[in-house]
Amino acid sequence: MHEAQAFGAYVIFAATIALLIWRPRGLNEAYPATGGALALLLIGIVRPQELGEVFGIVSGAVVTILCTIVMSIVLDSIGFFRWSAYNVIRYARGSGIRLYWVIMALCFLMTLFFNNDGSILITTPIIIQVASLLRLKIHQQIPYLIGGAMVATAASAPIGVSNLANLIALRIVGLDLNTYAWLMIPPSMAGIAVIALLLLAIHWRAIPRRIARLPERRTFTDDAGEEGYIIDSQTAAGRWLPESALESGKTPFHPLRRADAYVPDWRLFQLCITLVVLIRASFFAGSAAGIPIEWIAAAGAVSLIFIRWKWTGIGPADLIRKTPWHILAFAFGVYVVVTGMRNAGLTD
Amino acid sequence: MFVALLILLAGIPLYALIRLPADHRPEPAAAELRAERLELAVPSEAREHA
Repeated sequence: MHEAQAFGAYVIFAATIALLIWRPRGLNEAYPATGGALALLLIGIVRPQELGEVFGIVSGAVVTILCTIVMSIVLDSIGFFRWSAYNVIRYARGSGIRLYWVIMALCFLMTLFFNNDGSILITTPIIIQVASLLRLKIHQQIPYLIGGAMVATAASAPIGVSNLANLIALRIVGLDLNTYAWLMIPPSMAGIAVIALLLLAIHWRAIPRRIARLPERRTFTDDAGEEGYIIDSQTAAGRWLPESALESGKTPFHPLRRADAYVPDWRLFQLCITLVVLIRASFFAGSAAGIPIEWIAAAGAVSLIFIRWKWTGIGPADLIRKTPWHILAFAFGVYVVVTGMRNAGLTD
Repeated sequence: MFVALLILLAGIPLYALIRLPADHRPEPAAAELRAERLELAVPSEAREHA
């Protein structure tokens, strides 16, 4: 290999990474990755016959992550996550510290059962909604938002299937999911606990001790047939409920009060939760039996799409529109760039 | 299999966080079905007598 070729590879690598971080005008990250890969092919650092090997390593991981994303889109479309903001406030029972731990648990579980990027995309709006419902000031919202994002990211470490990079790394080093989990669960769980505790300690003063709480069990239906909660005076006393809520006798938040909201079907929810948990567990049982995890992920996504179609009549058109297909180009492009760096001797 | 079991156990708090509150679990179809079954369970003579 000529030195000029190797130098060219380093320049392409640096330009690709710079564009991925900078993302001028919100440029989709798939473009720099694909551009870098094409440039490395053109200067001959990566040989065309190596593309098949790269595809073999990346495709299974990308299909698994795409299927997980499809599952989360299906669940979001049936209102699956809408109730979590409501439940987070309920479980906090008027304590800001308890709210912190409930939010950390939510972020951890979302990554555990979906993936890290999806978890942040799902939980950040939930945390913002919770914070605005509780009328938290900006500095009071920070611990919940930072803590949630940190825990959601760190929660992809205990099991390999929550992160695209983990899945690709597992394929490269030839480690199976169960061995990875055995090795990673103890240290990463300790790490997540330390992250959550440290952030709590750092933000201790900013976290409000008392927050609003939602009254439970007492419902009313107004003249327009709209359902809501009646505020119990004992519950409302000393809380941070807004004046308008106290005057009208209604809580400021109810997931079904939105005009476009529909009444979700609890049996559909139960079926979906059961399926999501079983699919996640099947990754590990199937991996031990030698079944490729992308097959299990695909079966899970297809099952959820079918259930939603049978239950609500909604077809898969919205999934085709919302699924970030560019992940396939991004992962493939980045791994071609990595292969180019290996060929150029950067990893020696 | 141990990891699969751990994942199943982790599904319990997920279930708790996503669940609908008891007041908002609309099951009209089930309620109608129960009413129908109750009606069928009452003998016709007893209904006439009532």
